[in-house]
Amino acid sequence: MRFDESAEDVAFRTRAREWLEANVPAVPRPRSGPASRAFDLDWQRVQFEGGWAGVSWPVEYGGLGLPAHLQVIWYEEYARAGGPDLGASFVGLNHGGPTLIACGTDEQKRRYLPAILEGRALWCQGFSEPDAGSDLASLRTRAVRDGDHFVVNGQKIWTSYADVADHQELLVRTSRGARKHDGITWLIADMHTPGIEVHPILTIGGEPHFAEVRYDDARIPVANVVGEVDRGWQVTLTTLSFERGTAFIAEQMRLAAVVRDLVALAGAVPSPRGRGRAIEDDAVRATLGSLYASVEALRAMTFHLVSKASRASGPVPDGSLIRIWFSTLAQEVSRFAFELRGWSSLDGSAVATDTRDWTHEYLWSFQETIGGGTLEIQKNIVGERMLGLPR
Amino acid sequence: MIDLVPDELQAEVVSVARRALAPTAGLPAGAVPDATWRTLADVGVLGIAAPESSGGSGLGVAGAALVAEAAGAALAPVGVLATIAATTATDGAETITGHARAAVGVPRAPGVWTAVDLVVDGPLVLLDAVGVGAVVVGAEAIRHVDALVSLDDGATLSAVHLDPTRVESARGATTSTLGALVRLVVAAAAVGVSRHAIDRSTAYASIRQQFGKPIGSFQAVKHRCVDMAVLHEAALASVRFAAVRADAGIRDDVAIATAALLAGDAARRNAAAAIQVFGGIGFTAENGLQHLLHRAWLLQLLLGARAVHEEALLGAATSSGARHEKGSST
Repeated sequence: MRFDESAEDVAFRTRAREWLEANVPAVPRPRSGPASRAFDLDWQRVQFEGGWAGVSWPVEYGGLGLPAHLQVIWYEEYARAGGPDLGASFVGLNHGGPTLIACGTDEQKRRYLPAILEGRALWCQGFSEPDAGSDLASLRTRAVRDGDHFVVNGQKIWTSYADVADHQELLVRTSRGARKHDGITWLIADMHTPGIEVHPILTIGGEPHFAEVRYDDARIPVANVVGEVDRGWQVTLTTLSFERGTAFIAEQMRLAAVVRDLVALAGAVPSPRGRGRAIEDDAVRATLGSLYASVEALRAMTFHLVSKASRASGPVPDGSLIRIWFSTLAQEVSRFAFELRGWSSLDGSAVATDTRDWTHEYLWSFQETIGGGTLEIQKNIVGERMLGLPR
Repeated sequence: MIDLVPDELQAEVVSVARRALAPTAGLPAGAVPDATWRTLADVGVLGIAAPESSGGSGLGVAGAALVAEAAGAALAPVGVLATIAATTATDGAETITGHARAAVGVPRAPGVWTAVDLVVDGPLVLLDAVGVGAVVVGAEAIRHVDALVSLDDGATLSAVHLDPTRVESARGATTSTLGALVRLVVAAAAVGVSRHAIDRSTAYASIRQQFGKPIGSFQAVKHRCVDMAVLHEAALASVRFAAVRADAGIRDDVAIATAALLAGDAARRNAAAAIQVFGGIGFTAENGLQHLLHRAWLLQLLLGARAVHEEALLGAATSSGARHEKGSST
């Protein structure tokens, strides 16, 4: 338990800061569609060409091969410079890529990893199904072997970025095992494979962020199996162990910036009690101070997670602990902004004058406790794996 | 880099401290036998943060915070926390060797302080009402003491009238270093209380059966325990983060306010939640959860009002440029 920053750390931070200040895109990231795809790929390519892609990825696949604490510094500086949301790049950089690094064949690594870092390919995740959400292992999308291919039939849903992605991490059922966790296989699916159809779904925020994906005799090469056939569940668990929590730093710093904007908002809108500005109201001040403490705590929690994960050989469930804190806090922050703005929150013409689209942030925040495992599932994970409570 | 997990030496110190603190559980500092108190000095608990040059262990605020977590979980005397802070003051020799037991006080009225665990002839660590200042005054500054009746029977409370000239001259030596240390050991003790509440709750929820199953298998109970653990983690990480920053010589009032606010919350809310997890037995005097609840409130009051911390944080958020620059030096 200590704090120190070596001369190398400081030099890395300085270089990262200077580069980011000069290169972070001046225009906001388009929220969806082809424009978002072009933006995400361009920005990733710029980072790669600048020598900053994949800070902790292996050197042989285009990464920098640096330790986790430098990845933390990179994310801190990224957020500080106002770097854009990773968008669709997130899936390849923080999920699909790490899975291949941990479990892929050499051929798979050579073929797919550099494309992620160089900004040539986007990924999406094909996990949830209409009848397999929180109970993911009940998934039924079927893959039957036919020569050198698996023939896939079924349906995935809530697939973020499906409409812009090139590849998908696709979980399919290849056999009926004794347990439902057995018989699942992890495939790399080319989204342009004949028989794969993407039907975008509008979110409550009004954009086609996610989609329903249908598979009708889609043929996926057997060479695209990651890990072993029927042992895909183990592959998904391995991915968790690769996730070292460093990505939370960027989330934390972005949320800290939102809280600062919320304070500025409270200085601009009238008090809910009708006297002066909201920032002059004691109850408003108490809420803002408390939210600021919570976002500061999130930073400390992330450092604690990184400290623990760097010592652990297997997965650490602490990420769920932070997810619970982060997701509920992010909702509280945008809910409070919505409340402070009063009628302006319901008035679309007011948006253009604000620093943020607060109404959209509020609506978007509902996904924080649903996507990637609901709040309730995260609580089960913490209760059972960290506290040792019975199932 | 920032490492918030104890290294081998720190872990060893904590395990030694835990054994030495166990016999003090539930006692006010003044009721701890001399031999037991001297053991706390001998194994390095009392001088944990004092420099080695003056006979301490030199393990800094981080070491003190870890030992204080153990002290809080054991319901060890609040006087132990005050003494750990007092040993770092210039005249700390008596406290390091276990010959004096320090108390901690917060402003009550002009010239009067509410003191916890005041012991005859012991020094007094005085906290400021706002900000993070603190001073140590010797027993000679005491003019008059009114004993109060402490709800927490593991602590004594008194209203102490102090010689204003002596307090004023001590003020010349007000340091934010001491203030940070004493607040962080109290906050760390609150984290320990929270840990105690969680450990007891999860153990009970795992064995107590209703409807033919352990109650901890029901999500209504399980998720309550998880809410306790999440708040606990926020408090623990915040206290440790503030402690290592203090040791690095960074004055970070935001980190201290965050630690104080969340640690107080974690202790109080988790002690209360534990009573609910236990159900009927939780409401009995025999089960003893009231001791946790009393201690949680005591520590939270020592840490200062929520509003004070919230204002400090809000001040930082509105002068975001400066704070941001400072924060980014991590």
